[in-house]
Amino acid sequence: MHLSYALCRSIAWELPGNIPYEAKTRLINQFTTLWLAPAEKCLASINDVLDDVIQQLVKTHFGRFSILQDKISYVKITLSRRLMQTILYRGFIRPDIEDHKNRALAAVKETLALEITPIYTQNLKDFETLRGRWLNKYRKARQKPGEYRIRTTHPKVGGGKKNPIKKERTVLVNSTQGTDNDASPEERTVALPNEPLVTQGWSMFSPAVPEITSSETQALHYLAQAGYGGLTVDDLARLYPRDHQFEDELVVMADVRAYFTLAYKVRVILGADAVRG
Amino acid sequence: MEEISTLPKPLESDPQIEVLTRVSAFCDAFRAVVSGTGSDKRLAQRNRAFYTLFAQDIRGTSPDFRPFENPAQHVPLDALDSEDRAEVRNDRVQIMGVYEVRKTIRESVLFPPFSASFLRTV
Repeated sequence: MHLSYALCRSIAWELPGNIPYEAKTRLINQFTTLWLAPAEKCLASINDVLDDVIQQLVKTHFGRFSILQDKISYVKITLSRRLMQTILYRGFIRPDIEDHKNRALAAVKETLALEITPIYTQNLKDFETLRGRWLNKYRKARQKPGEYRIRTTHPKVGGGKKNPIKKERTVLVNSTQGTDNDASPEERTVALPNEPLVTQGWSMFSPAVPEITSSETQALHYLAQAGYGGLTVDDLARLYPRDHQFEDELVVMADVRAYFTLAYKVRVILGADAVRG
Repeated sequence: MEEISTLPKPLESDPQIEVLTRVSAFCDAFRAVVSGTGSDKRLAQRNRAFYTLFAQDIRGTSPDFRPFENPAQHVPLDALDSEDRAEVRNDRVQIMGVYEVRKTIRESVLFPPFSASFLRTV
């Protein structure tokens, strides 16, 4: 066991950039386990709608007979009561519906439990693009941490305590000035919510879209002159250097985050199909 | 007699044929509603609303990676494109900074004999 421990350490860990697959699957499982609850909720809602629709249809098509049934003591009808009941929802359709509902639930669970690997391999090109873009984003964020900084240390404090927050903010802004040498003063003035975060919605959290500076357009212009035409500002993000300290971590983040987007697209579509089928 | 006059007219055809016709009409209507081809689009519309909610819920589970040493001091990096932003994040999603990810990587490396894939083969 000591040997395998040592081997794994030397093979899987000591080689830079060789991240154990299990680290990613662990992080991936962290979010896929959160998918069953919304899936079941969605299916339950859809089943309710289905029940509702079926009951309305039964009323439209067989309503006349249920009235007859109510009045059956007054009028002798040749139609047998038992035959009616078997046709009516409760007797005949219901067990079938329940069977279908169970099958839909099983299908949803099966879809959620799909193996991780096929989603990579079947969408390799999309995956590569996505992970590249996320890696650029994370590298860029590490280059310019000031752009992404929250200006209060207590983001969940309500509006009633505005003054203390302002004080803390000032302190924090001051304390950052020593470390973020590359962050310009403009970048420090990213607006931050005063209201409790819960009510704000996540749009408040997205980093302000950086304006395309003239230096970037100039760079693109000179690159085009040098023969590197057809590039966009997004392509410049690829030039962010590897992070010397946390490159493996950034790669894992990018892989897992890209996988999320891919799996979200693949499985939500599959899930919808499973419910319909 | 008054009550009897409020009743529907008696069946003109054979009751069995009448029932079968109705069952068949019911099935056609049901099929149309489910496939969304009929005039009744309510099922499809209501379900689409639930799919949208479901998709939102799933987007809310996106991993909250913030590539910093003190991730709580930074905003989430959610939007690669505006389409995949998490509107309301599931509160079971943990914020993960570089050290948290490093810890996960190390945990996956340090004890490979006890990893999940190994245990399955035992």
